[in-house]
Amino acid sequence: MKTRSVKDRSVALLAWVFMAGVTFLFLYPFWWMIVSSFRSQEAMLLEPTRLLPESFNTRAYGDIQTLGGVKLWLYTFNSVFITVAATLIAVGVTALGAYALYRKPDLPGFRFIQFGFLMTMMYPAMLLVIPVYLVVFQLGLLGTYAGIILFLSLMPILFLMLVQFFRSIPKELIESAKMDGASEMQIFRKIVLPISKPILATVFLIGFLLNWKQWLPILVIATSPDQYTLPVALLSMNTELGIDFQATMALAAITTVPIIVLFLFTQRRVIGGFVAGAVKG
Amino acid sequence: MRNGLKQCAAAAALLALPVGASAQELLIWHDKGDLGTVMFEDIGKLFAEEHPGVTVRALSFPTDQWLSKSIAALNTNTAPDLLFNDNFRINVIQQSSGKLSGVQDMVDGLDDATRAALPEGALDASTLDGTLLMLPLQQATGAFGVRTSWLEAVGEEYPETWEDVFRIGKKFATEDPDGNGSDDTFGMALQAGNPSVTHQMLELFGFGAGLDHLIIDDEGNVVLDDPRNAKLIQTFLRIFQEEGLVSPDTINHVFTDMYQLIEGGRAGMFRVLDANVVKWDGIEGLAGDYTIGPIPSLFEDEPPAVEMHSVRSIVVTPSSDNPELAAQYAAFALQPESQAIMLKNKGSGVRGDIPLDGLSDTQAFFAKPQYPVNPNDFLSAKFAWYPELQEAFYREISDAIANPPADFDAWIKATAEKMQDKVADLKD
Amino acid sequence: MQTDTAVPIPFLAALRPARWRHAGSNIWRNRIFYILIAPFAALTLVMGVWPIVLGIIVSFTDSYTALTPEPTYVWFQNYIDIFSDDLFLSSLWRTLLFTVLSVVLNVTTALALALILSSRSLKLAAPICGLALFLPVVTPEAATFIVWKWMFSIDFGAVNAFLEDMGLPDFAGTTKPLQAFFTLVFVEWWHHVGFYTIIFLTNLKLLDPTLDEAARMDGARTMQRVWNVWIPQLRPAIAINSIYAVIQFLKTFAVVVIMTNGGPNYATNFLSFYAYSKFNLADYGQALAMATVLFAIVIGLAVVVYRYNEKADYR
Repeated sequence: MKTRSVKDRSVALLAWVFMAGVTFLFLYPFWWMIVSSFRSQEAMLLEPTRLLPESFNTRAYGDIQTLGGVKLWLYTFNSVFITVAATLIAVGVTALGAYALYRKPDLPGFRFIQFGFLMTMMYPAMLLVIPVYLVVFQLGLLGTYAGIILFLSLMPILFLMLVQFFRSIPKELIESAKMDGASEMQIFRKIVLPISKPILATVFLIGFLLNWKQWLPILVIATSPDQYTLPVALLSMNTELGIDFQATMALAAITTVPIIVLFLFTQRRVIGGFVAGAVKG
Repeated sequence: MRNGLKQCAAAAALLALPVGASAQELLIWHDKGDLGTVMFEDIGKLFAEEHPGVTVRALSFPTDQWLSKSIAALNTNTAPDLLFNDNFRINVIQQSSGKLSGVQDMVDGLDDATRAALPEGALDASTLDGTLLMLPLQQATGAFGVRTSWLEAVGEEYPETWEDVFRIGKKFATEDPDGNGSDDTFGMALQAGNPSVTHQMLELFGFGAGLDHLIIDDEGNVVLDDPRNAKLIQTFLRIFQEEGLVSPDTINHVFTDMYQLIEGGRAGMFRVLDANVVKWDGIEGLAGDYTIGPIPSLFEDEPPAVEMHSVRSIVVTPSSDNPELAAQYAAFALQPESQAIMLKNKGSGVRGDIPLDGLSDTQAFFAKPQYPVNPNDFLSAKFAWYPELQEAFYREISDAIANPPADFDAWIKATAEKMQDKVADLKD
Repeated sequence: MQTDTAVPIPFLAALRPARWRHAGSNIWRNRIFYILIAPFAALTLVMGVWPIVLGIIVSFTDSYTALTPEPTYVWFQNYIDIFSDDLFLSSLWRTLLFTVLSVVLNVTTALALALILSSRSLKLAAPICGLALFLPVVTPEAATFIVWKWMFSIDFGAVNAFLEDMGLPDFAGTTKPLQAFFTLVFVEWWHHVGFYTIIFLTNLKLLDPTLDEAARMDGARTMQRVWNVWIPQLRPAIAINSIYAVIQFLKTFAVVVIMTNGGPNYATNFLSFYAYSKFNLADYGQALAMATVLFAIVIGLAVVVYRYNEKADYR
């Protein structure tokens, strides 16, 4: 018994050390990004792995107030506006669609919609942007917020999460309401909607995180940096006349830190939502 | 409900408006960074004195985005009023879109003084398939630069030949020329990340050293295995084989990475374009510490020289709402006062008669050339398929950098034959 | 939240042909559902089905005319062109190799990490570690890939500075073909493994404890229990993760754009990147022919997996 506990303890220690190393590997790049945004390029070149900045050099944050002829606040506004609008539409549209498909998968036409949706999910997401560009062009929406938002509001993963949730609603709940003579509209508004509030919040959160990351569709559909979001601006910081390393890290930090904070505050919901969508998908 | 719908429709209509469109605004896309934006907008302010109510807005894209966005915008009729870039890139967007219709009328309409001040070479370089495609605004020169304090530290002079470059490069890499105590310097900064950047370097060293043609000649005959061309290519490949001369990362470098090494004080020798010096003169550590001079010589019978690297030109797009106003602005950018603004911000204009007051020494090197300016052969202006040939050729170069050929003579022969086949292919 | 994992992808059931049992008046009776689904149907059609169909159509046209009202059809010419392009063929094989390597690496390491994280010895540290693993999944890749690009920089990257401190030789990072390929395998692993780990972790919590107890009683060692008791129960989760990973890594793109641009010497020129660079030069026909080929591969794999799942009984 005694040898066993010694062995257990050494195994535990090993697990601790190993997982501490793994945690470091996953957190260090974020830390490095933030620290680098406060260090001059020369200092970075001299001592790339320093854990704390020599001094808080905030030059870069001042320098990126205008990028490529566009103000930083406009990129930030675009990020927030496009992300919120696309996610709101995505949650609303997808929730209604998922509910209808869950309740009546066999109605004429519904199979086709589900099939089309499935195809969209399987088309390599990055490459879908190419034909979407042609469609947005044909719709006359190139270079508009509408074109960008419409495309970003098609979010398959939200559909999977929502369908999963609707499947978990006890059938009896709906059946008994039907017995009581409730119309479908009433069932939807009085029964389904109220119990869906938490899941709607969760999918909104996840949709927000995922849309905030988007860059390729925005880069392709936008016709001017005026419509760029923070991640797109970040990728556009290289110009022919060189790159400012410190400023790149500063913009990367501005793009990333709010998301990290949001995620830390909502991690249970977010991870739970991802798992539910994926496991049942 | 009805009211709500109306509001929704109004909001949707608002969303569907292209952002930033305005009848009296001229929009220019370029890739020359913040200084380029300042340059075009300052010229725009002068222009507005004659055309009240007109504002000029310039947006800078990274070069690859500028290319793809311009092509896509021309194809979809969503282009801005004006596009500005180096002539070889305007050629590329024309070949991929076919939407530009040429600027012969604009040039014919110029006042006599301006027309006379436009160098014929610049106009030739702006021609594609016999059509004057774009209006040249700047003639860009490429030279060579060395960190002055590093030269002193290793006891050398400005390199005149490639043997000098290799010797000095070795010292730069091993003798800690910046005196920071760590082994973190390279002889030279270069870009070889993809065909479209590698060709700029090889052409700089080749044309700058007096070569007339690089891959093919005016008739389309492959000349890359001529003794002079072979010498250039062999020297270029040697750059990558000399220990420490360039960063091992160079095979991935595009200009941003190259500039990172130059501006960060990691490389001692580098290309200097007229457009670089305005920015570099403001960078602490680099400003005042680099000597600009001619391209290292390859052939004894050629005088030291620099390269006419490109002609930067402007075009009015067919999607412009105000094509006449846009054309007026383009022509206005050729006026002496506009050209002076260009000189101040980007180190070059195209006119031969711009006033040169108030320029720094580094700017003056380009504005008042002390060395002959050897033009690039600009064959993309003559053969529509030239960029494709270039791409094929630089794939071979890239391969030879990654896997140095054991027998260079055999390699250059084989490559020349491949290019001969490719030319025959492309000519069909 | 219940987690029934019996059928990993019931959603694929949509591949079955529609059953038109109810018709006609049925539609009117269920009009409320048609109203509910209308926006979703419109969005799916406009931003999903239409682009896919258009993509396939354009892959049969001449790029030069693709955006004009009356495009010229060249039928299979674009496909002939790409299949006679050495760069495309090598990029196809490279993409498949990358996918296989990455799927195996991600699923096995995620399983291992989940097993360690679920062990009782880690106690409170486990949730923190889990968060760290998951962080790259939700943060913008534009930022994290740029950071990794600099970290691997041979000139001033943290990776080599670290190796030097440890007295180890430099790692070539993205400067040499082979090393660049594996650098991307690693960075993509860093970016995605947290997702697969969390899925395994959730499933581990749902394992039947009585089976494990029984094995323990029989004196089975930890490794034996993992191998004989846990992993068989995790097979559905392994299947799901593998499917997600295959789809994920087949479309590997952003990391290439940001870290290597397909280089050095085309060593990381993956299929979606190659298609995108064709698109950038307005070569719409070839770009979409490549996209269609990749799409066909994904569908083919999905159908195979679906068939396999229909037959297999996981219980």
